[in-house]
Amino acid sequence: MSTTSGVPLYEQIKTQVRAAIHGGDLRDGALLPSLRQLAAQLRVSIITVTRAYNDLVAEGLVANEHGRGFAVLPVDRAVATAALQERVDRGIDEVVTAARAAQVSRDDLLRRVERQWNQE
Amino acid sequence: MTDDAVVIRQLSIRRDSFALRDVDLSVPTGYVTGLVGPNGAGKTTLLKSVLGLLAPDTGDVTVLGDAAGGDAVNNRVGVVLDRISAAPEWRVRSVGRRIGRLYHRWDETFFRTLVARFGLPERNRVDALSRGQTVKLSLAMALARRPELLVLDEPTSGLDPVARRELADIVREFMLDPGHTVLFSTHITAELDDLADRIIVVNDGTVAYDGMLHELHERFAVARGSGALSERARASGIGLLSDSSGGYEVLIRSADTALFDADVVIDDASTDDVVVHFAEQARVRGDQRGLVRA
Repeated sequence: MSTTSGVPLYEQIKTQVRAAIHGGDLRDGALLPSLRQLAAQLRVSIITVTRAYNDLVAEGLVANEHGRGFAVLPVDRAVATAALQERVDRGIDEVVTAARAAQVSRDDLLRRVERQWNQE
Repeated sequence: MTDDAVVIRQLSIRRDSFALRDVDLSVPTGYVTGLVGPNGAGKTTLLKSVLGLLAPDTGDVTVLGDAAGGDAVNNRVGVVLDRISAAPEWRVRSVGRRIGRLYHRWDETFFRTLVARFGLPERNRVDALSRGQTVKLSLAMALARRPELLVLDEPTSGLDPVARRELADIVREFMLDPGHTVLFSTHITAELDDLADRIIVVNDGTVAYDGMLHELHERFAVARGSGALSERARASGIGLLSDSSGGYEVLIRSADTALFDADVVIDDASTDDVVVHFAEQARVRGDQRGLVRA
């Protein structure tokens, strides 16, 4: 979470929860942290987290189970895979743009990607 | 159980030095509401009417479902005002013993926990505490009453950034219980963004704006330009401010951006922009009322 990245905080929360669900870190039935706990933990207002969670409900990723909290819904694998692929493409887009701006050659870029890949 | 911890209807209070006029507002349960406006706008008067310390001339103030100021209500409200309600010569550690019996729900164990957690020097006299320590002691006294509603008047004034952050953390911790509500006043707009869910802008004894904080950013934009404004643009703008070099800045509704020419810069409205321009609008209206009266 960053307050200086220019991306609204509630969007950052959404992006992170969405990635966790699509990536399988948050599975079907798992409860999100309570609104108030997450607000306190991230040092943001309650309404900021509420907006993010409500948007995730609207996207069909989680459900507000009254009295229990926000629970992760079963994920459509095809949708999740597409979302993960899209994230990869967006990342590559950014890397290529940055490489061109820095005049990093194609071969050099691929070498760097290779090195990073092997580090994992 | 209502959804609003505080409901104020048609409240007017007039004294020599201050006044509130026809104030209508509500403070939602489960959220942090920030009361913001310039010094002398009526923030403290409003908070005191919520606490039942000032009787309304007309209108009514309902707190946690009951008329403000009653003993039953006051036992459910924690307060931090600019002056601490502990005698200067008391030792920090004896404060709970001395005032705890005044409150039905006083939690001495919790008070001592808070005193330790805030790092307050237990053996010191109250009048030997720094400003930051005094606020923390006030807050410990307010929280030990196990309130449902916490009312804080300018709690961060005179605090350094570290102490301000600690205070915000304590407020958020209090808000972990969805039945809890915080109403605090400030003249520092920057404090609202990461803490308040709702803001109420007060100026010249009236409520100039009242709404959830995120809606404000969606609803308003700021237009900056120079030269003449069209009549429609002028009429739709809120709190027009001009500078000496012929430039102007005005708050507009996001839907009204088409009223402005291409050479006008339209930018997202910050919380600060909304407070400044609504306060300006209230000031101008106040002046107009003054002229009518004169």
